[in-house]
Amino acid sequence: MARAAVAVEAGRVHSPAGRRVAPRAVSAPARRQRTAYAYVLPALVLYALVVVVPFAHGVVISLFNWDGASPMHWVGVRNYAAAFGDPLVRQAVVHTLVIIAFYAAIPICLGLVLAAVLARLRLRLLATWRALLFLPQVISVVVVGVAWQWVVAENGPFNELLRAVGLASLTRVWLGDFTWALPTEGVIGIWLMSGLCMVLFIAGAQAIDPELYDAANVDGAGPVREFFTITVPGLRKVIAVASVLTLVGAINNFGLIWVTTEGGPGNQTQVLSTLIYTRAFVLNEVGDAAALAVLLAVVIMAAAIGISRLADRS
Amino acid sequence: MATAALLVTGGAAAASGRSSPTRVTRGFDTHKRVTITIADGWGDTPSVAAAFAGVVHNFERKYPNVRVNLETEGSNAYNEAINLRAASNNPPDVFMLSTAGYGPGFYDLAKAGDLEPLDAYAKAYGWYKRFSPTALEVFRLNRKTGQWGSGALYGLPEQNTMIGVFYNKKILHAIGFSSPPTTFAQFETTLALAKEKGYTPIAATKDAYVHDEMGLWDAFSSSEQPINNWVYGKSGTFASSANLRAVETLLTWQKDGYLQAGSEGLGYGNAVGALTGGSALYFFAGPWLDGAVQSSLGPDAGFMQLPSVSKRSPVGGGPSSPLVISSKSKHLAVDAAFLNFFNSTAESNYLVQHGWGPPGATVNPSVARTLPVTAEVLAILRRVEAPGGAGTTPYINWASPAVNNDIYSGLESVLANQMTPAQYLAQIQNDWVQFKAQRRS
Repeated sequence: MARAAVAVEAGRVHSPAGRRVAPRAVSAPARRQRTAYAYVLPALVLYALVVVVPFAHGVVISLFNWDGASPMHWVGVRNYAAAFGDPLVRQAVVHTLVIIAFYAAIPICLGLVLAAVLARLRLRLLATWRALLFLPQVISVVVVGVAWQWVVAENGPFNELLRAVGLASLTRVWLGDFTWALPTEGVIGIWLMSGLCMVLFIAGAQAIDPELYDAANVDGAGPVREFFTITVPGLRKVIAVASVLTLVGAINNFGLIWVTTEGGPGNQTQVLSTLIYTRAFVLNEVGDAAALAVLLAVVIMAAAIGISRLADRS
Repeated sequence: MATAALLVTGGAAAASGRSSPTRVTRGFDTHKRVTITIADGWGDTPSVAAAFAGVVHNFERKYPNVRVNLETEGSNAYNEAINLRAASNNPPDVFMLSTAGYGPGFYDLAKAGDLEPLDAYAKAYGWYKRFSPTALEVFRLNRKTGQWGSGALYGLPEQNTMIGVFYNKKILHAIGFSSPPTTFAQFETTLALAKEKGYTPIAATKDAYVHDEMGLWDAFSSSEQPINNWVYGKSGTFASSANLRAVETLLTWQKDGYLQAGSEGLGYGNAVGALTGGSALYFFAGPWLDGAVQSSLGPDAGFMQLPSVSKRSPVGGGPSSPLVISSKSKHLAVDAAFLNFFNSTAESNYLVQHGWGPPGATVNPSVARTLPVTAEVLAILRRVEAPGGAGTTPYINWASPAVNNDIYSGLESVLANQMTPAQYLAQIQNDWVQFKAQRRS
């Protein structure tokens, strides 16, 4: 093995390039492509092993009725058909859309405003403020869940605050309340994701040409007009990246909901990811769960591609 | 140690394609070096995991030719993976399951032939003398009919997790009771008095409403039979008058403010904390908390059966977390010897002394007496399992995988007035009927 490698190396070094016939038949761009593929091959193999193969396995399982232990029974696309007609799945889809609003739409808007404000105001300790707002991103999701459970508990600081300002009638166990559990999960999402969006936007805003702002100033534009005519359009691509990240985070949100409510009370915070988990590991309906997971993966991929295309086109 | 090789005298073909022995002898070749893998899901509770590891260590010390590869994981991670691992080509030789009956795991694996039938070993080792027949019933399954509770034996209980009521003697004294209530009416009086004095009458959590229901359903029943028939999937209904009364009582307690405030949003640890922190009078739970309650409340810790409305009532819960053997194991004789060792009197005593709570097998009474709460649990068991006793009922959520899931969300809905008790009972009964039909198809 080692000897062969040396021979090849020796051959390459000592043979004048002009004498080699085979490489000449390949155009330079094609050769560059081949070299590029050779570099990414190890990563591609790893990716295939840990992502593509399990995904394909998941697709196969989704075509069977399987409890995880007994022999599998072929059911074709029946698991997919059942998913579309299942009221629990429909309910989980609606809850997932609500979570997307809280995890993606609101944090992006809030992140933009925060970025604009922090960039404009010459706040003292700017770096500290940025770090504080970004902090939720670096805390383990389990810690976030447990901490928030305590914040919004019966005698938690949030209810104590309401009592202190005379709004005792509004207090409740926010994560155990049938109406308010899902919005509460959403608020945690806003807290979690806004800092990430802000940091992305601050970084993106530094790439906007300062002369544009000077020109706008000369033309008499105020901060709001500046924000909408220069900052937002200038951050188009960063907004696309933030959208994909937050959207995927929202749809894949499992840990936080599982730690705080496990999909309850009742099924009020049951989203697609928790429903898939419950089906696979609590109800042992592995085929059904795999079908749902495949559908979810397709939706996430389509959304990510759609957002990227939209950002490129505009 | 004498060498006693596995004696195979024939047997039915298991689903795995290997024949299972119908008669075996005790022991195994103690000269041949062998490594077995044992998997458990006690990783979240270090003291319990250490007790389990201690027994494994004792086994290795007794049989120096055996090396055990012990794999301990946290409960969630363990339960997610154990089904798939057990059904794979490389399963652990011996492993625990978190439920029996039709709960996730046991039924599917036993039905698929992934678990080794243990009757032959039970006879060879005399296990039937160490457990009451009802204690082992929950680990039996008839693979042909899919009926749980009869057929071959597939596991031995790691613990006896009988559900009862922990109480704080200090609070009882403070409300004028020198001993725990003996009638249901007295029990409800203590709830009202505790609330009046500013205590939490019942520590509660959404994760354990099912234990409250089990305690109440048993208290409103005079025999184990109707409940057992239903849980085992044979006959009867979840919507029985006793169970309706149980759920309605729980709802009334909630409305009267007897359940821990905010229980609908609290995790299990918060409810345990209310009891062990000394602010709650009662908590419906099992002996898995013996160690924690005993060490925090000391002499004020007590455990009782929820007083019955009639003269006698069964208790719920009981033997759980079966230790099973993979039918694909290449060291069945060693695996069976480990199960035998785990349930020996010496190791059961060791487990009690190391905070395990009551093990599945019998314990030396003098050892049990050293831990008052565990001694009370064992006294209750002796009473209900004695001839003429009301018996024990398994966990009601073992009736089907869907029941196991829907009981939790259903009780949350009832206590939040999103569903009436009757609607909840009908929903669970519907799950049960559907599963029964599916089992037959």
